[in-house]
Parts: sequence; C-alpha cells; structure tokens
Amino acid sequence: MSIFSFFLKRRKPNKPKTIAQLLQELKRSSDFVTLELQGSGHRFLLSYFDSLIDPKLLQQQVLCHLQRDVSNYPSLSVRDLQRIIPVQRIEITSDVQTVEMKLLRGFALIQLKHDDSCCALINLASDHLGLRQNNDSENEFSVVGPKVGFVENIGTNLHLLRRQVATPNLVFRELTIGTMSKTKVVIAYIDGIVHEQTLETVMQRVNDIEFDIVFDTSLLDQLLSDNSSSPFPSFVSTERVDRVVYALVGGQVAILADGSPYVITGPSTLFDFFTSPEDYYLPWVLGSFFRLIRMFGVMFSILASPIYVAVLTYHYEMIPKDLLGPIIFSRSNVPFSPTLEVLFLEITIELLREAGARLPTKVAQTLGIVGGIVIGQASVEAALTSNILLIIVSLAALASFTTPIFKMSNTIRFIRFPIIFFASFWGGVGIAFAICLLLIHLGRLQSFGNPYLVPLYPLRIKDFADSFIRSSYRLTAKRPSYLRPRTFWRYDPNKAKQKKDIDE
Amino acid sequence: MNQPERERFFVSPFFVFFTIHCAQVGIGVLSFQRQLNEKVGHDGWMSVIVAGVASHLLIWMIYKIFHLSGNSEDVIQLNVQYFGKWIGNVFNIGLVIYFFLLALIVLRLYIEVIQVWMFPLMGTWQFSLILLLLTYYTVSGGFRTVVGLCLWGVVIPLLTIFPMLFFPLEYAHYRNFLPIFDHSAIDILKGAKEITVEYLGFEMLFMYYSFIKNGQQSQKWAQWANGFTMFIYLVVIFISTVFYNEEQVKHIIWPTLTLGKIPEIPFIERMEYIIISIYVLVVFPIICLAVWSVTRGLKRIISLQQRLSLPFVLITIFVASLLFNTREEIDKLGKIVSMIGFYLVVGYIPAFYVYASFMKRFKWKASMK
Repeated sequence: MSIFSFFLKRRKPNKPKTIAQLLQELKRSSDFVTLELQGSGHRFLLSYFDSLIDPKLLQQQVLCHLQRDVSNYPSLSVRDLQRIIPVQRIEITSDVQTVEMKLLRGFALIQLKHDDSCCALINLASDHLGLRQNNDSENEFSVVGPKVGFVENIGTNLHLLRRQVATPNLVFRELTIGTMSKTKVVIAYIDGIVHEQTLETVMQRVNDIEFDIVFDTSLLDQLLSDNSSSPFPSFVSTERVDRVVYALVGGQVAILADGSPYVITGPSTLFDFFTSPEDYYLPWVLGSFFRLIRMFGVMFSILASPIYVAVLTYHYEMIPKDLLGPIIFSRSNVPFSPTLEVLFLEITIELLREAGARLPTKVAQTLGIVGGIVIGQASVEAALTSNILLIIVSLAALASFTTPIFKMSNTIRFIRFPIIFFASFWGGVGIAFAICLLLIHLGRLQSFGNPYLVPLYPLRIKDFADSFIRSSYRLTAKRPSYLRPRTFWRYDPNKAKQKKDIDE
Repeated sequence: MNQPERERFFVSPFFVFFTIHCAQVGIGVLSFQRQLNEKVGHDGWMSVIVAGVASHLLIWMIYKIFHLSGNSEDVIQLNVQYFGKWIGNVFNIGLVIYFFLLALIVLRLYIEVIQVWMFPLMGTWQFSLILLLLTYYTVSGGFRTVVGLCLWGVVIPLLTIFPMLFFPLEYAHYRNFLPIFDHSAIDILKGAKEITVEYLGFEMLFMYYSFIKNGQQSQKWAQWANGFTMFIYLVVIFISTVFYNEEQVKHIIWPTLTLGKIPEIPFIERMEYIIISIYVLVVFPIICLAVWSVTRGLKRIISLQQRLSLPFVLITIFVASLLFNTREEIDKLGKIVSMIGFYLVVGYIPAFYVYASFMKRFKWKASMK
C-alpha cells in the first residue's frame, strides 16, 4: 500500500442478499408482481415482471397446472415443480445473482411458502414482443437473390444462420457484454475453417469490452477496431444473411448482438466493402463488370472534384483548346475561386443527403427532387457555380452511393474533403500527396490483426481471383489465403473444373 | 527482441524486388540523358547495359558478403565484425551520413522539379514540410509500411507514367542510333560511370537485409529488380535517342519530362504535370527508405530508439533542405552525394567482398593447420 492509497476508492464488498431482500428491492417498481397462490394445502409465491412475460404462457402453462396437478403431490418440494409445469426450461436454484438475472430476463419465480431457500425459475419471456418479425434488407438491396435480412431478435438471427449452414462445425459462442444492458453477444464461426489465432484475437477483444449499454453492433465495431481514429471501417457490418454466411464460409468470424439487425464480420479487407452479394448471383462476366464499375465509381467519387479544383486553380494549361471554350463560358460569371465553388456544391449535396436520411421517406423523396433539380438549376443560373462543376459533383455523389456497405460510402464521402483542400493548396502535387497519405494509412491499418490492404499488400497473387473481378466459380474453389483458413477447399475443384472436348 | 517475435516485422523475399527497384529509379531518370550524351552521344544505351551488369555483380557481392559472414544482421554488425569496433563504427557513421544525404538530395531535387515546372513562387519549406510529415507517418509504421509504400511506388508509376513515355515514338527517327559504336570503349565506360549513380539504391539492402525472410533466397528478386531497372532505363534512353537529336539534349535539363509534353488526349494536354504529380510516389519511398535506414543505423550503432531519433533526423533534413536554394548549390550537393555513392558501391563493396572472402579462406587454412 502506498501513501496515496486514500486516493483509491475502496470497493465495498457486496453484501450477499437474500432472496427476500431481492424481492423487496424489486417491488419498488410497479410492474413487478408477486402473487400468493393456494392449492390443496400448499402455498406458493409467484413473482415476475409483468412487462417482460407473456401472460398467455403464464395462464396456460403455469397457473392452470399449479391449480390442477399439485394435489397429486402431498409432500411438495421445489423439484416436483419440474414435473408439474410443462415448460421447457425450469431451473432450480438458490443463487440470488441468478435469480436477479433471470427475473430481469422475463423468468417467473416460484417459491414454496414453507421452504423459501430454494426456488424454481420458469422461462415465460415473450421474445418477440415489440420487435419486428422480418427485415427485407432494404438498406442493402439486391435485385437478384434472397431478401432475408437480420432482425433485432438474436434468436431469429441465429436460426437464420443455422438454417443455411447445416454443419455441426458452425459454432456459436455466447457472451454477455454491458454492465447495464447485459446484452447477449454471440460469436459465430465455422470450426475447422477459421484460423485459431484470429478466433483467439476476436474472443479476447470481445471479452475485454467494457461498456454500459450495447445499443447496436456498430458500437462493438468501434470498440473492437484496431485503430479507432481511422475514418475507414475496420469490419463489414451487414444485415444480409447471405453475406454473413459467405464470410463464415470464407473463414471469417461473425459477431451478433441482441437488439441489433446488423452483424459484424471480420477480419475484413478493403475489397470486402466493395463486393456486393449480387456479384455472385450474376454470371461472372457481368458480376466482374459491375464490380469494376463500382471501383471506378469510388475512384471517380474521390478524385473528380479535387482534380477540378487543381486544374482550374493551378494547371489550366492542361485543358485543351476545344474544352477551354465551354469551361470559360460556364465559369465566366462565377465570382468564386474553384475551391469555394466546389465546397459550396459539395456541402449542398451533403445537406441534401443528411436531410434526406433524417426525414420520413415520402418527404425525403420530394426533398431530393426539390434540392437536386431546383437548387442545382438555380445556383447555376444565379452564377454561383458552373454547369460543368454541377455535373461533376452530382456524378461524384452518385458514384459514392454505389458502395454496397453504408459505412464505407460514408467514408468515401468524407475523405473527399481533405483531398479537396490538398488540391487547393498544392494542385496536382497536393492530390498526389493525399493519395500517398491514403495509401500509407491503408497500409498501416489492420482488422483483427490482419492487414487491411490484402491481397494488394502483402501481395497474394492467387487471391486476386475474387478481388477486382469476380472470377468464375471454377477458379474460386480455394478460400482466400490471407485469412489463413485451416482447410483450403470450398468444394471439389476437379469436379468443377472438368472440361469436355468439343462434341463429347 | 527474440527471433520468433521479430518475425512479425519481416517481409517475404518477393518484396525485395520492390524495395530495390523503387530505390534505384528515382529523380535521376528524369535527367540522366544529358550527362550520358556528353560522354557517349547516341551510344548511351551501351553504357546503360554496362552499368546495369556491374550492379548485378555488386548485388551478388552484397549477398555473398552476408553469406560469408555467417549470421550477421546488417552492415553495422558486418563492419564491426570485420574491422573491429573503432574502424567499423567509423564506416558505419559514414554510411549513416550517406543515407542522410541521400534522403536530403532526393527531397531537394524533387522540390526543385516542382518549383521549376509547376509552382515557381512556392517556398521550399512547404513541400519539404509536408513530405517529411508524410515520411514521419510512414517510417513510424515500421519497415513493413515502408515496403508497402515501395510497392505502390513501383506499381502506380508503372501503370500511369511509363505508358506515357511511348507517345513520342510517333516522331521517332530511328536512324539516330546509327552509326553504332561511334565511341570508344573508354567513352562507354565513362558513360557507365555517369549512369552508375542511377543504379544506386540497392546498397540500402545492407540495412534491411535482416528484415527479409530467408535473406539469401531473396537474391533472385534483387537481381530481377536490377534487371527491370535496366530495362526501364533502356526504354527511356531508347526513346530519347530516337526523339531528340544529340544537340537538342544538351540544352534540356529534364529530357524525360519534356517527353511527357508530347502525349495528347482529347481532354488533357501537358501530361508532364501528371507525371510530376505522380512522381511523388516514385520519390517518396526513396526518402522513406533512406530515413528508415538512418534511424535504424543510429539504433544499431548507439542504440538510440528509432522513435526518438526519427523526429530529429526529419527536422535536420527539413532545415538542411532550406539551405540549398540555387541551382548551382543543389547541383553541387547532388554531385557530392553521387560521388560518395559511386565510391561506396564501386570501391567499398568489392573491397569488402575481397576482404571477407580472404578472411574466410585464411580462417579455413588456420583451422586446417
């Protein structure tokens, strides 16, 4: 003990409560109910949270049987209740901690009046009350393919996963996180595929989380990430079942939390954020084409307005004579520098997006039309911006929304602004500086200790089969090696590869 | 740190290709035609080949030195092992100073290009500051981050700048090559001496050798890298020989950049602006590698933590870069650094190799007796 020990608050050891004290404490809340029942000489105490249990279950499974069948047991003990009440999970315990925990989870407590040291806990929780039953995955929509999405109920989510992956190797590991919310968090992986070290890292990181209430997996995402000050998301979070299953089969780990329709999968790489499940449902040529379009869109979205700023501020010599005419014509009345002009339009688009996201859907549609067309047209006519810039900025905005993962599309919208400033300070060299910075940053990033830029750096030539392009299924029989899966083959490649000769 | 723990920081042998190629192709490729032209005229390509083959040999020697020494980690340990603590450390300090000057001259030359071509009025300090801040971010990420940058420094310029060089072939005069062997062998060797400087960069292998998994196996990639550098220089010298005539090159400081003016596509002209911008990615990895080598060297010699020495090294480079303002001063510094580099690779490495193999044989004989 040092002399400063008085600074350290002594933790009071929790006095062990008795069940009676606990019940007394819980009674402060008006939705906590304690019933006294009598049946054939026995007296029961039934306690539960009215707001958590299903009243139908209580009547049909508990009250009914207690009143009818108890007479068959002249000397009733708590253990006999397991035989009387036809409910799947009845626990007999005398541990106060467990009792408190279970009562708060929608269990009912039955005590015998003559023997109140031991008690039975009956699961009467109404799991689905107040939660939606299905999710059409509207935020990550795809035209082809299943539209089942995860919902807020973790039981349903686990069911969805288990139904598609019918193997005993699919393992769910349950943890409880949050000092107040006591949220059920499940780590899912396929044993025999996932690399042990990855799994160990995930388990350890999840176990180390200290937080009060877990509202959503996106909170976990931030708490788990390797570099929390990076604008790039460390893990994919998705509401699509097929996406999670695909990640699991590839050797990744999924993290689900009760109350959240989004599932985190990791370790992720940069490419994971630009692949859409639809790429796999379309023929590989089309899938690859759309993926390339998407990547081009990202590049365009990041670089278009900075290049406009750089060229028009510093390097106007680069514009050919034929193009110079229209640009001069459209910019001749604009009183601002290109930087201000771009910032004005970019921020307008950001405002439209943000307002559209906060308003009810029907209003947002109107707003989009009013904002997009009227403001755009008016600002050109009022000579606040040039026509050409309006085209560039709206194309860039459009391109940024092609990213399938919402978090990544936000990142792309964000990183454009620093690059605009770099371009307005140092022109083309500034853009190159910014790209350098971006590449170094991405090179340093990790996701669960896995490099983020793989397969680009560290270079894995073989893993390029499913990166820029989505190769034919004949070539993607092997799992990507950067996840270091324990078994490499997804399916028998020889059968898939079999090629027949002409006319055979 | 023990070996298995350090393995996390290693790179696979394959990446030596990028570190060596990236360090070799630097700011010099923009301007080497002029010096070459002075010595050998249109026969420059032979000098390029001679110097390239020589550097193949020198790379082989570096690997051989490491092989002969047994399990030495880097040149710092090698020098102490062969020359004793005092003389060895004098060499070591000399090497660290050389790497420092290398970073400085590359930085200053690139800023000069920017100032001449794009921003004549912008101060040196702005670019110096931003590049060195980026260097801090990279080097503090460790050797792996630096190597990652080297990868980009090879791939992106190769995909963007390199194809642009072929546009001037439209105006090529292939007869510029004739007559072949117009110059004496001495002239060609003199030209080779000029161009050897452009192959410099592989000597940093001395510093990061211990960061390569299975060091000896990486020789294949190191040789490929050097071969690829030679290929690029040959392409550049070929195109400039057929595009310019001999008199013209004498009056152009950066002939390669002037080649970049030629390509035209409907919506962009003056491609050299793009080349200079993307050239950040060519120059920047060299600075990072050199600064990393300096801090690593300081760590190995006086066991100064890299995290502490890095800011000091960068601040010193920043201040030093402000001291060279005129073309003459920069040129002089460049001449000094390339002279040191030339004698380092042509004098020090072969001498070291001979000495090391002699010692090996001597010890072998001693053990036989």
